[in-house]
Amino acid sequence: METVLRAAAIYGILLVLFRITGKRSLSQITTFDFILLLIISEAIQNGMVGTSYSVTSAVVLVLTLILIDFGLGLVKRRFPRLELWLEGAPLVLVERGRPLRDRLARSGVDVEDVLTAARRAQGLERLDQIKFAVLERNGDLSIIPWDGETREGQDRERAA
Amino acid sequence: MVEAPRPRGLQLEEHVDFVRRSWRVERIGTWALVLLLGVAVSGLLGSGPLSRGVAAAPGVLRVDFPRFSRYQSPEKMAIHVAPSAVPPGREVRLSLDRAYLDDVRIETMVPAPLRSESAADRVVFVFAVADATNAFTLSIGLQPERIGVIRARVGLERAGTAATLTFRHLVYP
Repeated sequence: METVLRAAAIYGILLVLFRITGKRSLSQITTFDFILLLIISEAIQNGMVGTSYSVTSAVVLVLTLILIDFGLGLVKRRFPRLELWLEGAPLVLVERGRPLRDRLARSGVDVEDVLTAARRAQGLERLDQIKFAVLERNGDLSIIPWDGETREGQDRERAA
Repeated sequence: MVEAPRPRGLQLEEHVDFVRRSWRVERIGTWALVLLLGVAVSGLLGSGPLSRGVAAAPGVLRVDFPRFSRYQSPEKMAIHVAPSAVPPGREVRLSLDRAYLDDVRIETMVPAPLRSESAADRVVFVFAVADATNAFTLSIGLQPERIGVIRARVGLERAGTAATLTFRHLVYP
C-alpha cells in the first residue's frame, strides 16, 4: 500500500517537475546533464522504497510504475489533448536555414546546440545547410538537411 | 512574438498556440519552484532555521522540539528541567504520553533512563541527576512514524505539583 502510494507520488511529481522545467532539462546535451540524471535517480530511490529491502517492495514498486506508465499511455491515446499537455508539441526551430530566434530562446536551445546536432546526425557544417531543425517532444533535435549538398541542389529545392 | 511559419514539405503538426501557452506555464511554474526552494531553505519543510519550536512552562520545564519534520527522518528534541524544579533525591521523572510514543520512534535518550514505568495514558521515565547543581537536560533522538500533525504531551512528575507541556509537530511525507 505504502509502496504504491510512494511510487505514484514520485511519478506524478517528476512528471510535473520535468514538464515545468522544459524538455531540454533531461536531454543529456552536456556531460553534466548525464551526471544530473544519475544523481536524481539516486535521490528519489529512498523516497520510493523507504526503508524496506524486500523483494516484494521492489516488485510492487516496479509494477506500480510500469502500470501507471501504461495506463497513462492508454489515456493519452484516448484524449489527444492530454497527450499534448503531458508531452508538449514538436516545434520547428530552424526553417529553411533561418533560425527562429524567439523560439530558440524560449525553448532554451541555442544555435550552437542546433549545429552540434547537425554535425552529429547529418555531418553538416553550416547553418545554411539545414533545411529544418525540429525540437521533438522528447527534447531531441531533429535535423533535416537540404536534399542536395550542392548549391545547385539547394537552389533547385528553393525554386520548387 | 512567435513567428508562424508554414513549413512546406514537412509533415509536422505544430501547435503554436499551445506552445505559446505552455511557455507561459513554464515561466510561472519555474518561479513557483524557486519559491518552493526558498520555503525549503527556510525550514518550513523541515530541517532549517524555522523548523524548530520551543514550548515552555516558565521556571520549570522547556522543550526544544522540531515543529516541522519529515516522515521517518531522524530528529532531535531536548527537554530542559530548571534546577529549582528538580526534586530532592536527585531523581527526575519525565512522562511522554502514549499516543505520542505510538507516533514517533524514540531512537536514543541521553542520559538513559534508570527505569521506565507504565501508566494509563503515558510512560514515565526516571533519570538520575549527577550533582548538586541539579542541571538536567534530556536529549532525545526520534523519528516520526506518522504523516500529519502529531501531538505530544511532556510532563514533569513531582509530588504535589506536576507541569505538563503540549505541543505539535507537522510531519511531511
